Amino acid sequence: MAGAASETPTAHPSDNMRARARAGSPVARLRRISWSPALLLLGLVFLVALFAPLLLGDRAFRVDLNAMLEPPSAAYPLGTDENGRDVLARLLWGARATIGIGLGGAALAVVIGVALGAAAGYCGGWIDGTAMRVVDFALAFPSLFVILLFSAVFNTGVPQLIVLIGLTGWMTVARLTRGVVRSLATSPFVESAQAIGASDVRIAVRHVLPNATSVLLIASLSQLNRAILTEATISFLGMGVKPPEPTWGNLLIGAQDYLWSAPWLAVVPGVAITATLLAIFTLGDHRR
Amino acid sequence: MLAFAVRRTGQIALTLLLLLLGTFAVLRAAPGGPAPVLLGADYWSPEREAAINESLGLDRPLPVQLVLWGRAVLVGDFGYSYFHRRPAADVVAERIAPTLVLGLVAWVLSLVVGVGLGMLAAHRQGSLLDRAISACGVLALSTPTFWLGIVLIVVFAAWLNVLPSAGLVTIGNEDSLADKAWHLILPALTLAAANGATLVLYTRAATLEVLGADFVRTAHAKGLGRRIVALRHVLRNAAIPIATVAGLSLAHLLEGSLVVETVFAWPGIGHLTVSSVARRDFPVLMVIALVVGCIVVATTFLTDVVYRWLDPRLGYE
Repeated sequence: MAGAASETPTAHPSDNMRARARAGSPVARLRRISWSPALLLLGLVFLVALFAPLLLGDRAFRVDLNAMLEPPSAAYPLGTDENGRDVLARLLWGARATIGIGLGGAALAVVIGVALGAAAGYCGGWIDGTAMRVVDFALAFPSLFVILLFSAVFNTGVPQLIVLIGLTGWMTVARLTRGVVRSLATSPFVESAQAIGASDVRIAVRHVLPNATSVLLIASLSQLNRAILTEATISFLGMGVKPPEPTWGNLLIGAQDYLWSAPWLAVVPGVAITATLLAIFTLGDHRR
Repeated sequence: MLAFAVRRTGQIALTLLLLLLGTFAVLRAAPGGPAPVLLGADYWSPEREAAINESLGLDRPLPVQLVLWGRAVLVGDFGYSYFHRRPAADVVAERIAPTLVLGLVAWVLSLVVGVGLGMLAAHRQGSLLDRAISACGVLALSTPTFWLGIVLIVVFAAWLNVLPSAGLVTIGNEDSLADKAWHLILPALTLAAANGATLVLYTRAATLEVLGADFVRTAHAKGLGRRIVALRHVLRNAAIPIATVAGLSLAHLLEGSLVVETVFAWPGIGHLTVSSVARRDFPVLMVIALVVGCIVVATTFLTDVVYRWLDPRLGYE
């Protein structure tokens, strides 16, 4: 009798909800999401990032020496940069690097943070103490400095940036997760699951974590914001994705020299970053 | 209290030691090293690179390098900057003051404006003012610091031509304090923006939480005026989390200075870090790592002490 609970799948109240949510065609499911301007903007950004090569070909890299530093016009809706390249094309292509690295870095930070935080919060005792000591120690180093130091030594391309951003961001997630898991670990439903003999891992994953989703979602969104901002900053400082590969950050490197003559070069990428970050932030607010 | 201080000092020393070891290992593990940068593409040859590496001591085994470097550090010799050809410690020491000035001014500014607006928003929750302040805070948080700096330069220096766009002083006016203050305005504003926004949102949340407490209701019920309640009861209790965030934000300001100093060509440590990274100037980077580590660790420690002093419920464990 003792092993029965872990052998047969137990019915869960949320199973019914999940079954209903899965019902209907993809279009019906799409319609059920509460669309907001923020979500639409993010969807647009994501699609642009995904399909930029198809839409643009090589327009983001083509140099037209007759049209350097042109203001916005019919041919070039956002003007051209100091190398004669189409700013709009570079902006759209730049979404790939920024969003890609942002998503990757945030995902890594969340995975590491949730795993360590949940383990610390659920196990308690010396595991918890050591984990939190490690978190405090890791928090002592400002992430930008750490990433810059690494980029002084090693070549920082896209994968390295994702790893660096993830490794410098997991600490906040871990702290949050640990807090939530600790408060949930003493709940009655956890106690009863332990009483019928469910394993610790099963309890943590199947019962505790689903109840922490709202906190984790907000943490994930703020990690995404942080990752995008970090990537843009590192690329702006010249140590991230390097030209000619565009990213919203490094589009501003060249713009700095032409602030008097071509201010649109500086304005456009920043608007893109700000709008995206605002949309992500608003999304988090909506969910609440 | 004494045991607390001793234990904390031990932790700080350990952290700094590990920081130095880590930085040393990372920098020395660099493929290539400074020789290619020092020689430049035209002048480079394997023999010249070997000669430079030997003169800089980079061809010795790693543990030997560490011991030699450790011994030198203990007497205050941090080696010569590869790029500036001067003692690395001097190069860094010259640039600490501008960063400290910029950082402290920005910190005070963000503290005053951030906490003030945050409390205002909380006391008038739901009003148009509250929503405007919160929206501005969110907007400031979403704006990349480097872009904000560039936009401010475009608006105030290029367009309106009222503020300088770069540097610490105008050439020829080196002794004028007013000129320095003039140059400080835009960088300080830029640096204070993100931090101030965090403080506004955090203060608002913390104050709202305190405002909902029973003792505030009791104070009002006793007949105390709104201002007295706000100052004596709400502020005192909300100050605890706010002080923590404010203290820890100093480290964030240090990160922000990396970007702000680059945009405004402010001759501080942030700018030095970025240029040294590009030049792979290891001695300078090691000194900067030590300085930054000390600053961060010191501010965290001070914040911890202040936090425990403000809230008597916490012990000094």
